[in-house]
Amino acid sequence: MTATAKKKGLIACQECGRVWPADQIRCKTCGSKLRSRDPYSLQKVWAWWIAGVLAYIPANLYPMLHTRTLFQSSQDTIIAGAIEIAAHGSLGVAFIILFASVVIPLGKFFAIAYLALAVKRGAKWPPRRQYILYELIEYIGRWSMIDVFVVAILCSLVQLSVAASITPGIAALTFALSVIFTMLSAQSFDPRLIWDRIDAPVSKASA
Amino acid sequence: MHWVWLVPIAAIATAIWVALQAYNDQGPVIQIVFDDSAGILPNETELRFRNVPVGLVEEVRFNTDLSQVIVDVRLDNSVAPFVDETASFWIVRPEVTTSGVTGLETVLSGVYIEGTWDTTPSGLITTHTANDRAPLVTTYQNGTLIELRSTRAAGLSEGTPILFKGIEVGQLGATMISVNGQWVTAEAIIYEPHDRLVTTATRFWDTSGFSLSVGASGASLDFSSVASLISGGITFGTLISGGEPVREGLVYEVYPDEATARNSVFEGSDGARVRFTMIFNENVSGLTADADVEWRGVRIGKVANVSGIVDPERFGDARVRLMSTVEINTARFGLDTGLNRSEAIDFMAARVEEGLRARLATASILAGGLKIELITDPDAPAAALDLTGDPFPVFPVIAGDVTDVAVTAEGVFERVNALPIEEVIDSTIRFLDNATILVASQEIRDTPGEILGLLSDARGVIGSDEVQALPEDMRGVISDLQDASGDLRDLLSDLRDAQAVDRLLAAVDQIGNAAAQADTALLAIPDLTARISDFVDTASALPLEGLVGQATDFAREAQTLLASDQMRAVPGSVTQAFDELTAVLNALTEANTADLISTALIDTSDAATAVENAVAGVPQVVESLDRIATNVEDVRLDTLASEVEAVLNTARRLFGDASEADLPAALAGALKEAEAALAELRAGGLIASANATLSSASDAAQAIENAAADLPQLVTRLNATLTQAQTTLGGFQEGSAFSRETLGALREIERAAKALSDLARTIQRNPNSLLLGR
Repeated sequence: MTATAKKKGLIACQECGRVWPADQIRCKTCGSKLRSRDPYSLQKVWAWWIAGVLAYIPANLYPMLHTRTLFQSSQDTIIAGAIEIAAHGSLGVAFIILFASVVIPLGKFFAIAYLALAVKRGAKWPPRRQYILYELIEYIGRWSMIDVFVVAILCSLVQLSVAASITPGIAALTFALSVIFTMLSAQSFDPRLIWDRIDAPVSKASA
Repeated sequence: MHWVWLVPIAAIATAIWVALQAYNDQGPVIQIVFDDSAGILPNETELRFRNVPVGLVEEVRFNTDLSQVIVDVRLDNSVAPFVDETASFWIVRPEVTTSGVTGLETVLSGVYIEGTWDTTPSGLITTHTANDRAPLVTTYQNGTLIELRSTRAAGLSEGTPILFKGIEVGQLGATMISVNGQWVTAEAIIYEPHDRLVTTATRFWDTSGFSLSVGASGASLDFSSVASLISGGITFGTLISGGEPVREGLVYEVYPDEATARNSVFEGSDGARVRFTMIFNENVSGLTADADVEWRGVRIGKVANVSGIVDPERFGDARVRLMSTVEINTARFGLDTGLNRSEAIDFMAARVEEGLRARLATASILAGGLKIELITDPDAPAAALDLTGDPFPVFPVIAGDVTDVAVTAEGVFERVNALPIEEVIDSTIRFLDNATILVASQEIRDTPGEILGLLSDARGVIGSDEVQALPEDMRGVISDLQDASGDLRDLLSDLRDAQAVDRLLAAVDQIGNAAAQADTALLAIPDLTARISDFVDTASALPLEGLVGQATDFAREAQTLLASDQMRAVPGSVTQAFDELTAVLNALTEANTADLISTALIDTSDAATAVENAVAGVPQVVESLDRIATNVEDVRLDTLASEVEAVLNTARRLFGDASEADLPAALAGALKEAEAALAELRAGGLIASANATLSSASDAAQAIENAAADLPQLVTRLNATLTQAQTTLGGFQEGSAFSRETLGALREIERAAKALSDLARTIQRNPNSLLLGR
């Protein structure tokens, strides 16, 4: 049985790290509100998660870019664009696009869902590994916006009016929303919940 | 529940709303069948209506047997109900034609499908067949569709504009060959609202290319527009009224040019055609069948037939008249085309009542063709349409307006041709050459100066007071002369009273006797003639020409003398002399001159008698003449001539040396003396002397009178003499030597006489030479 701060009747300030007794409402050092656990954490996680997934669907169905050159205009979804680039031989670029735009967002969805479920129902993974996963999501999640940045930069750079122009498609917006929602979802997760189930039997839910 | 759940709910709601929206907006898919897809791309190629995208191609596929391309187009809901059976689709692609560039934007953007349909929604039809080209009628260019046809393809080409007064009011669609291969047909549209300009009476013609016409007013080059110059153009005109408004699908023929189109109005019309007979009194060639019948320049009919007619009963003579049968289309007057024949004739009869008449007119000045013109002449003699005419009513005619230019022009040309222009020019050139030489000669150049001098001299003479006074004096002289002539008249009447003729006869009788005697004397004539001939030879050898030349010089000097100032005084003296003369004549008049003359005639008669006696001695005379001639022959005429010349030279010297100034004065003095003498005569016994003289003359006349009394006898005798002479001459004829000699002698005499005559003329011209007292 491992001791946690909650079990010891202590509460740590999220902002400055000062430890207070459990009945302390506010941190006397920095004035922040003290909470042992965020009671709505999982609800928020799931709400953002759902919104993120919803936004991610049109982001892949609708075209990301409208490319108009002198002789033709084309609009490509993320995956179609990556495939096209791969077909032209730029496998590396295609891989990066696929990784940043598909693998990472999908991985985040799965990771967040796993963490949330693991907090609720317990998981095979030890809490320590769950926490590393959480840190990874937190760290890598922001890089998903690379797609949006690329689109934004392309659109602002390639505006040659008649000769060629690139405009963002509806997918760029929804993709950005999806990334934002996913980040909010990850942020809403209270990692301390991971430790609450430290003594819980593996893969046995008791909620 | 935490508020954050609103976010996914909103997301879901949005998704649902968008999905619903998308579903609602998604229109139906229609299939458009093309022969080839011509650049249509799925999800890119748009369907446009009035250039607004209203659909997108979703799929391009083949039909089952690959014979066609089926294009699936997702329509916008907003237009779906309108895409009914009126819809038509075509591909818009860049096109450069003579009438412009279309679809240029599709060069960059790629082709698109253009659709058009009417404005009433009548339900979606999902399968359509596309057109190859844009249809003529679109929603935004409405008009009436007609069909044009032509026997030749030129001018009928797709896209050819239809112009009206230069404005494009329509267009030709695709051309095709008619089923029977005789026509080229083309669908054409006349846009609203110009389609109301087209009626069933409208004619279309080709204005493509250009027309160059050269006429009396110059040359003109016509073409409507550059587009029509290259690709052709079609225009139309409603040349007559009475047509019905155009209907959809009406077929029109396109004529090669306007003239043909105008002419076609006749053939193509369905108005009532009535025939009339017109009988022209003029027999003018040039009117032929098919010639125009015009009314105010509009062709309203044609001449169906032309023939001559002779009908003495009808016209009262047997002249040949020009009878023509004309066919008139009353629709050209704007009458209802449904008019029947009798109504048309009634109409024409009414017009004739108002003065409508037919006449011949020149159709073409150069070609000389004729046409028949209907003109309204209110002053024309009353006439009516002769409905009894057989087989057609007879139309009244008036005198024609025909100019036969050809004949007139030919005559003019012939006359011009006949002019001897070359000869005239040659003569003119020669004349001018001679004139140039003449004018260039020194003499002519000096002439003006001499004339000037002469004029100034003449002015001096004329300006002198005496000359100025001359007219007045002359008037006096003339009145005196009048008096004198009156007296002379009296004198002559007196003479008539006397028996002058009888006396003359007597004289002639005596002369006759003399002639008889002369007859004998003539025998000696040959000899005499020979001698005369010799003499004349000698005379002709004299240097008379030199003499004459000198005389001329002399005369010239005398002329110079006359020009001197002193001569101006002469007229005054002459005037005075005239006065005197007048006085003398008056005196003479007073005297009993006639009686005296009568006496003189009697005396003359006596003289004739004496002559008669004298003639008796003619043989002797001849002999004497003979001798004289012989002597004359001896005389040194040469010496004489040179002496005369010397005299003349002297005379000339005299004139040259002698104070010319003195001479006129002397002359004036002489005249004054003459004047004085005359005055004396008048004062003295001139009249008495004259009377004496005249009485002597009277005696002489008396003798003549006696002689004249014998005149008849004289004539008889003369005859006898002539007979004898003839006999004598007959004898001479044999001796032709004599004749030759005589002739030669006569020729010499003639020559001498001529020389003398010249001399005499010179003297006559310069009578002053006589004043020298030579």
